Amino acid sequence: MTPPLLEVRGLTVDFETAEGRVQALRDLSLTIERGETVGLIGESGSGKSTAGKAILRLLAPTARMSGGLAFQGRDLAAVPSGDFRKLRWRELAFVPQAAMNSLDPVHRVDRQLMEVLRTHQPMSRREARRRAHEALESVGIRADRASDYPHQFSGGMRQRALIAMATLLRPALLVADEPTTGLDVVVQDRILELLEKVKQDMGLGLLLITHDLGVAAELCDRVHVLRQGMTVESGTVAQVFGQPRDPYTRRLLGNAPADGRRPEDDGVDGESRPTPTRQAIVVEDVAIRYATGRGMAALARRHEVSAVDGVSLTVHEGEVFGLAGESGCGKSSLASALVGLAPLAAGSARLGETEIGALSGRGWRAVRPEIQFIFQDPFQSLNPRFTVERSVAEPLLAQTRLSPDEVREWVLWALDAAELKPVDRYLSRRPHQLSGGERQRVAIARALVVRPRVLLADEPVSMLDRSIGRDVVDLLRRLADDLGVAVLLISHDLSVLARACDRLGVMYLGRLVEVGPTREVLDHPRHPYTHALVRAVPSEDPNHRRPHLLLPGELPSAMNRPAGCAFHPRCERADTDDCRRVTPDLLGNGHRVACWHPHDQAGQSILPAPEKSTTERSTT
Amino acid sequence: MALARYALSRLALMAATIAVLVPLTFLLFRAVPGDPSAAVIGPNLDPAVQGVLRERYGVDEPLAIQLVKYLGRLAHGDLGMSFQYKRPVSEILAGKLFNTGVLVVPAIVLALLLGTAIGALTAASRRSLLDRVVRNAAFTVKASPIFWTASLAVLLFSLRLDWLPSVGMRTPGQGDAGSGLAAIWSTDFLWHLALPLAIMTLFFMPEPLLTMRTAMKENLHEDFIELAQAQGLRRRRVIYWHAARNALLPVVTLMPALTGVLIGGQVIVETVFSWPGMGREIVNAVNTYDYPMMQGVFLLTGLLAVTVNTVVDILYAYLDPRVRLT
Repeated sequence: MTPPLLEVRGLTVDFETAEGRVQALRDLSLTIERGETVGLIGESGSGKSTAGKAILRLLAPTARMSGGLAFQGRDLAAVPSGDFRKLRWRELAFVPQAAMNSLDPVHRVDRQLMEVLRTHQPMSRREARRRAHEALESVGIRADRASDYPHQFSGGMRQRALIAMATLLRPALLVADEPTTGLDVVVQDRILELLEKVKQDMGLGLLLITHDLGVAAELCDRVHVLRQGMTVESGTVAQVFGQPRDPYTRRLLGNAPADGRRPEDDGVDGESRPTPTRQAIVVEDVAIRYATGRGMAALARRHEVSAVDGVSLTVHEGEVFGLAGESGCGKSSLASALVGLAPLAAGSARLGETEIGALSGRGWRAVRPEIQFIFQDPFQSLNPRFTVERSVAEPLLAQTRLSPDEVREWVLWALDAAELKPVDRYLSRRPHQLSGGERQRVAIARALVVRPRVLLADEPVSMLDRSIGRDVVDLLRRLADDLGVAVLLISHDLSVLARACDRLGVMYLGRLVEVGPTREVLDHPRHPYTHALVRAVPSEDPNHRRPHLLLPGELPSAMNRPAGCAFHPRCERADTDDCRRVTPDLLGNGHRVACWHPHDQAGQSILPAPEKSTTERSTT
Repeated sequence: MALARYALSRLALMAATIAVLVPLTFLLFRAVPGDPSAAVIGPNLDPAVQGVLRERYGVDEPLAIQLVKYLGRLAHGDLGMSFQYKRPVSEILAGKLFNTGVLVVPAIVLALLLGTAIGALTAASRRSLLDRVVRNAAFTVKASPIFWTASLAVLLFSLRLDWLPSVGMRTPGQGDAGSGLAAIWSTDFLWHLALPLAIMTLFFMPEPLLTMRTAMKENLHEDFIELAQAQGLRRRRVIYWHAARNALLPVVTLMPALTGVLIGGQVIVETVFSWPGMGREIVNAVNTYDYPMMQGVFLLTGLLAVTVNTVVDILYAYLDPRVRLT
């Protein structure tokens, strides 16, 4: 019997730190066969990345490792470092997260692939370049982009380049550490498809490290759930996701159904709530433009980029309105304009009764307490030197003339509303003593403390672990219900929006393409883009196999927005001249869509999913 | 292609800066209180003699006329006559500039090469003792005033050990060893050069060394370094092709700031070693209200600063592709 491709037995990793030994991983055992995908899932601090690095011998020198690692029956611990270097990449390859700095910023992408090739196989420069371009071509990066620098690539292209790099030498084992984290769903979909394809083409074993259960459910044959370094559960995807035995796994999966429907939801949104009447924000036909180029060129009209164009929407008090779309679609620009950080190039925006498009700096001072912002990164949006009390009191000190006693009273109220309980335990803490979720709650309290009419939350949970993020989103929902505050929730993650929003708007290249009650939009998407977006979300249900939809092409840059319907170059339904020439208006009642050929109102797609771009994945 | 366009635009900007710099150096010294005639004949001056002198120096005319005349002469490469030396400024400066150049240029080149190399080596070294020793040495040098280091070196190597001369560019009595390049190729000159050159190099070295070291240390924790290791690249390749190449960027950024340090250090080293260069001329010209000399000297240093900045801008764009080439 041949030994397994990789066998891990009782792997334990400790780190020496100033505070003594910290155990990062305890007694992990797993095997991976060729052609098999094994998932390591868990939240931050679970030790899943440490396990990947231990296998690749990339741990910091302060790490102490014990336990057995056998690669094709060969004891890896016994391999001297000189020989291990030869094993690297030829046998053991690695796909890191596609953060900007996984590729060296000062070298061209194809040069970095050539470097790897020439390290392992003697070959001419020309031959190496040919093979590098071939590899990039196979992941959909054309030769004319191959010699670009990493910063000229989009996140998805960088990730594809990293996969091309990892598979250059046809390794036996591929360790992929959060390969889709930080990518938009449509892009993620393509990466998942690509990983699946290289695994099958090369028959390699794949160790997938992820916090995303949907991704794990789609790709893995077997999974190991880690928590604080310990394996709490392992088994086939069907076992672990179907009948989770450990409470932690159940918590990770959430009591929400796989598509992110809110648990207490009884089906019909929008209508089930009393229809709110008072409008909190009214945006009408708003355009936002940015100058590009430098010097005199920035002044010329043709150097302007239109970030947002012709967007109208209304958010009522007590309502949560979700704004979805890929990065670069203009959703954050819209948020910036609503708090006065970007000027409106056209249209109007009203906050309650006040027109904010024309406000002066002084005018803004008066309305600022009405609209408050919650930032994406709770690790950077709090001053590390301030206590929680000071941070939350800050807006009151800046915007009101309350007495110290009143300030304290309001701060206590806000912390209580943000569900940081018991409140007095948090008052004197500083950010480094708080978890990510707690920090974001402090940020919410700071926004709430001036009792705003509107809360603007731009990707408030994208930096948090999934289960923590769910709690924060639920909090925003309760704030809307209990305090009647209007919430504009911006996220690229549809499951986040599905959880909290009454209504949902989908943006593509600066325009709203679809608006409607959340369930309507998600269950019966009418715009082909929304359709693709919804279908691209990985399902956590192992019995549900969705076809990879593979929206073709890249998101065009706002600098050269396609004419007509901006989505037409990537749209399978675009066939008429109208699509190419005339921008469709947002039409309809309640559930509105800007498309010349929308999907059927009833929800069922008129067109079947096209065969060519579909890949059915076999279940185990 | 984009780089060439960028370089051209930088050069255009440089020309514009110089166009501002030239009248500025002229007006700056007219704003200094005092009068050149007073410096020549002393405080008890006879108004009649003063008038003659002012007329001869051309400082009796309105400022605007003086400026126009100055610009006109400058266009012909004429920097005027030194009040003090009664010789053309351009002639005096050409000689001094050469003397300064043979000391400063090798000092900078050596300091940058040695500094970045040692910084990279120690940062990548797995021996922490070496790193600690080099770092502390660099801080010690950086903290020592250069006149003290220079004097100490003279004391030790010239007076105590008698290995190297302490004064001037060549041994008196050996005559002028010729001019231009021929002057550099005499062993007597190189012998005189050794000590001031060593001091200048030592003086410049800590900045690039420490910057390189810190940048390398940071870069070695970057994700792309980890990836390069996982790819099985040789350690030397990881360190030089990836880490050091990226760490050069902050060193290049540092260079314009070093120009100021350079001029200050040069003045002191030339004074301690009685080196007949520009540095001492600057002090001298300011003390004697020698307007044409001052203008000449400061015009040159200004040109130097503008040139260094332009070169660094272009170099930076070449080294870092993320710089927007517009």
